[in-house]
Amino acid sequence: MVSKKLIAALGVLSSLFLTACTGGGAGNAPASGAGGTYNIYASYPVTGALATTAKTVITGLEAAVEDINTSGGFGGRQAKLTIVDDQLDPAKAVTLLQQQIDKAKPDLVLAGVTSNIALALLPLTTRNEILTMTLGQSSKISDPANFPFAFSPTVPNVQDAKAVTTQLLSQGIKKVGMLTANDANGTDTATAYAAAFKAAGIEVVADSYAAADIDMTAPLERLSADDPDGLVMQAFGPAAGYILTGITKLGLGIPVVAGISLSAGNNLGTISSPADWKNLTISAYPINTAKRDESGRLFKSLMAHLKSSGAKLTNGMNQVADGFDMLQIARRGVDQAGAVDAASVSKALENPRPLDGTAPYVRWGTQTFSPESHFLGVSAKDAYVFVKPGPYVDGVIQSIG
Amino acid sequence: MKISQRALVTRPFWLIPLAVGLMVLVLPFLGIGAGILQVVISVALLALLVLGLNMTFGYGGELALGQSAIYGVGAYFAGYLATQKFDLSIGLLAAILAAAVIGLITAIPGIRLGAWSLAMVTLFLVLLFPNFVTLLPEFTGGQAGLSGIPLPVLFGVKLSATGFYVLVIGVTVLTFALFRNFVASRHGVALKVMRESPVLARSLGISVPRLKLTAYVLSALPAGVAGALFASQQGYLSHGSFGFQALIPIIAASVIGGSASIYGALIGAAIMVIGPLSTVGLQEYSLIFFGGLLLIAGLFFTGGLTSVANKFILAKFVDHRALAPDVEEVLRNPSALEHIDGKDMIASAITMDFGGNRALDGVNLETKPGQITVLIGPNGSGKTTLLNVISGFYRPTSGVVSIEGDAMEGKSAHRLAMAGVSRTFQTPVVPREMTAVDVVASARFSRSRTSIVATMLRMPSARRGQVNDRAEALRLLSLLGIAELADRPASDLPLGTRRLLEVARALAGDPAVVLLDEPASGLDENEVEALGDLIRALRDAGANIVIVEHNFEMIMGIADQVNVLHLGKIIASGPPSVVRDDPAVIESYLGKAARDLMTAGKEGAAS
Amino acid sequence: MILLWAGLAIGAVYALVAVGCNIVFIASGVFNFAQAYVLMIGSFTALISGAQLGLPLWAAIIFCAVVGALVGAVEEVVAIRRLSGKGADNELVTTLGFSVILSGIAFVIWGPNPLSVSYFAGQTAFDFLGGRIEFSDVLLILVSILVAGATGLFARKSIIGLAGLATAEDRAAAMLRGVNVKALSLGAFALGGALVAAGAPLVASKTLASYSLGDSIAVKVFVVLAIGGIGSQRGALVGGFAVGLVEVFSARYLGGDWAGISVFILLVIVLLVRPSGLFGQIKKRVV
Repeated sequence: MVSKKLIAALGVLSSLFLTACTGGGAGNAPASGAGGTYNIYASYPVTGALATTAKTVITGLEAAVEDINTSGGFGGRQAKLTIVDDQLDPAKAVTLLQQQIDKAKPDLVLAGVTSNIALALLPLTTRNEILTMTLGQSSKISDPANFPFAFSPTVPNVQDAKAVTTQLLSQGIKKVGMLTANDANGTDTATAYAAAFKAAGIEVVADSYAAADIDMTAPLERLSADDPDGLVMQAFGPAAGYILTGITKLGLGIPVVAGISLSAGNNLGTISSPADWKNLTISAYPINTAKRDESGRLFKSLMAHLKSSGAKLTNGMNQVADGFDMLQIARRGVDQAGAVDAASVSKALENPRPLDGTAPYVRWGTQTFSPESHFLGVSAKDAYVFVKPGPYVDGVIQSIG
Repeated sequence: MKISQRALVTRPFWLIPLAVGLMVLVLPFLGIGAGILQVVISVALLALLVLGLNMTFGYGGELALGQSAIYGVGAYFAGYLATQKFDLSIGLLAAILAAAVIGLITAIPGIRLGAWSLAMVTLFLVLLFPNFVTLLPEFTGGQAGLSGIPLPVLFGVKLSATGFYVLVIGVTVLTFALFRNFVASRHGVALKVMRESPVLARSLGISVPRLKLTAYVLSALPAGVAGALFASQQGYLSHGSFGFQALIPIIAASVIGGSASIYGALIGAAIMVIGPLSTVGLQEYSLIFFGGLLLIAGLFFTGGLTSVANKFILAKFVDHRALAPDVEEVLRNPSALEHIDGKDMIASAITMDFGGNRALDGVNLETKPGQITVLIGPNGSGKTTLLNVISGFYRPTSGVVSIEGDAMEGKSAHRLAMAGVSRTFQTPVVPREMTAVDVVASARFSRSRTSIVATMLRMPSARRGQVNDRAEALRLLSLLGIAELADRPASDLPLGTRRLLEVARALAGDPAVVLLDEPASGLDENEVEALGDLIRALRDAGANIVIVEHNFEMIMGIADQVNVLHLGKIIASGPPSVVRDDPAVIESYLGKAARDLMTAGKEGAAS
Repeated sequence: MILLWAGLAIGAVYALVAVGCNIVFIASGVFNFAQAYVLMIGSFTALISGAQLGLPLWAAIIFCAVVGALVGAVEEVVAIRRLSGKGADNELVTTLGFSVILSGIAFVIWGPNPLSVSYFAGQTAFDFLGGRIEFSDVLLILVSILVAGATGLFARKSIIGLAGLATAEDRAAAMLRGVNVKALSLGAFALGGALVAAGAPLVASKTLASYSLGDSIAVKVFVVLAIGGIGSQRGALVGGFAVGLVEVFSARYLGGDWAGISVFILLVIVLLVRPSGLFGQIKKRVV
């Protein structure tokens, strides 16, 4: 009786070995170039705290693959997307990618939505000369000298800081309390914010919180003790809700400005209630607002894909668009270079030809890199708009009040 | 074909894991892809972490959970040095040193605190690891992580992927070999003794703080090494790789593989690396799958997979009746009792207070070699307290114990044990997973020291020590007539045999004084008689024997000197015949003792 | 004063889970790692009760308690029963495994995003003894004190409680004396689960319902139990409040990075002075 169960359990364990030894569950891509395919390897945290973000981005990737393959592919090659769940673990991501490279070197690696995965994968992709794109925003990613093939088609934190500064000035705030997360993105943002605020003559008092904190009374109380006349918050996940509840509880009654991370990664409607939004203004990507341009061909193509795939947007439109535009950017690079190798495509991306005709993107009209910066060269003014808060419905903020 | 239990140890079965290790080492030359090699490296690194945990937790019974933090410290040290263009050898050395320091730091609470608290403190160390990383951004890269670690350069040679693989596997095989030697030695036995009972360890002359210190520092070293190798392998470090999330696979691998084993670390690590990697395809169900894996492992593999394998091997390939050659030899030529070098013991004016409660009140006791001294008295009269004072477990409120004229004032139990005070316990303390001969040999830990380095490298001095230990233990077992049980698991033996085993253990350390705490309780009539004969023989060989006993008949048969304790005072002492007739004893004690006599058979071990 | 209330409210969450852990520990000697994860399941139950079933608060509490009791009972049967005192190592792994499964189930059903629970949503804070506090937090603090007090009394005074203490001390002996060890263990897991989950509508109005809620709380509960002394309900309460207060006050006056370090210092001090915790029992006899 017991031994039977034992054998069964041993069987489960040994089957694990077998599946892992045969390649860790990754899909099997045909050899690069041979069959005229353009192999895209995507390492995303499909499980874990960022699963929604990852899945939304993937929806955008799939839409782009569909769109690109029906309009000529990557320089004539049909795109093939392989998605691997790195579970937000850098070491695991490296191992999985290495296994893929053993079988067939991908033409493009999409290195996650966070900096830690990207920074872990970049040495490997650089060594193997693979074009790499990530949505991570650490300033270390944009390092053409060390990582010549790595690009982050995102607007860097300094632009977010610029935009928030402008907003603070327009609200007449002279002294601001700043509350940021103590994680990688939070500290990066805090540095950018503080520098921009000081440059604009705004006095700053700063504090941070940990993602695991379940009550924000202490840091808010600490900030309010310095009597700021405005508050800036950078928050993702439940923390954003806790901060807003805390502000109401403390009865601070001063204007609050939320940086881009709040609307980029959360649906305010599910983590907070309108009672806590009284003095709040949030930074948002134009594509997440009613002001967006819905007339372009690609936008329509993306919307059509969303509709047909039945994907439901819980957050903003931006994450789908991120995935979509990322591949469109890569494709433009391939088209311009007339080749798929990382060096040629990178060079083309750094020195883009001017557009002829309509923009091939849905987020912004121009999305270009330079030899100096591998972040998008979009100005703060174009990159963000400030709106009243509200829940997302179909990827668009429904501002209240 | 079945072999004897002893042959499992003496025959070169260690060649099997070594051969496996070498086979793994040459994988890259067989055309195995880098992806698989990467998995093997991950397994090796996790195995090194688990190895350390098994040392402290599995063998030492100390739940020191700092492994992932030590791993991180090693990684950041080596990683930072690599970015400063230092050689990997320097990085490895720095990582090992840093790990040793952390091991020392965790040892401090470990020595003071119990298992549960130690687990808490070390767990917290792991939780705070990210805080420390962010406090030193110029070295660690802060929250953003440490990037730009170049490919490893060892002794000036830039390592290829294959070279690095060979390095990792080579280091892992070497570390495992060293640790295997360590736990197979008397140091390993000492750890097991400590896990089972720190009290027993002290009574055998093992300094528990010192042993813990050794264990913590040693167990930290592989983690430091693993960290340094991880840094080279990844080229990028973020603190997320070392926090609480990293600890769970380490603990799980330890338990799944078998905490009290060396090779279990490898098996557990392989499962914990490959398992989650293969759940990658399960997408959102991977958490459920991982949880289920833990659940199954915990439910069905008690003692880990190694324990399951051991049981299988014992059942299929081992003949329990087959005796080792040296056991057969000692059975053919039973040992004769040699002279025992007993020493005078004087306890003078011992007073012992517990709070406001006076357990001993100015007790004087003098015992001599070649004499059996018995302590009797009703429950709570202070007999065992007196034994505990003599063996150093209690520090008396006032009074001095001296051995052969040397005052033992202020010395702790293990010091007294080293001075020759050996003892048995009311309930025999016989560690699990040890053979009878090892149990007896464990008492020789303090007698002849072998350095840790010598043991790990299996130098001649260490091997000689081990051979001598076994010979001496076999001699004692033969003396007690239980030599044929030498290689049997001690905890499987019946109570009477375990008592004899304890006596053998008490004799193994060349005792100056032998303290026997109720040796006859739970024994049947024949066993009591045999025990009595044995004690008399020991006395005649020159031992100084002190017995606490309830069995009145036995006492009167063997005692040279009887001391009656009552409410912490000795109210009568002298030869049995005199004490028996002492009116004070009859009045205060014998009435109860007589009752004890009648019920002695039924009382059993409960007293 | 507002910090005091905030600290007590966080502490109450820890204390509540710690009390649940203690109930299980007292009755069966098992350290249940999954207790905080029962609270997590409870928070989603509260979400359903409010958003989908539209239950009033009192009914939601009962519903959560029933679900919590079920989860606890299932855990006992699945992860503990077969082990029956085989060793703490195994229990550590199986309860950990069960916790991960609970997280996994919540992840599959509700996804990774935190969701706000409708009870007390949009409530306004009021001034109370010199500090602002929300009504749900007042309730939470009161409930944790009440539950700790009642269960502590129950463990020491009732026959069932005493039987539990006896089992934790010596399982075999308790069985010999006619204690139904199995039923007791099952009951303890169910009761522990029910009490913790019953608090979920209150807790979740503060923390939101999230599949990772268990992770944030479980480790803190370890610390609370170590400080208070495992098995002592008074210790759970005092330890919970102490950890909550130290977190909040150090975050306020030293900075957010210091909250964890301060709790660590508190833990080390308590353990160095009293290795078995503030209200833990110390075994005197060594041999």
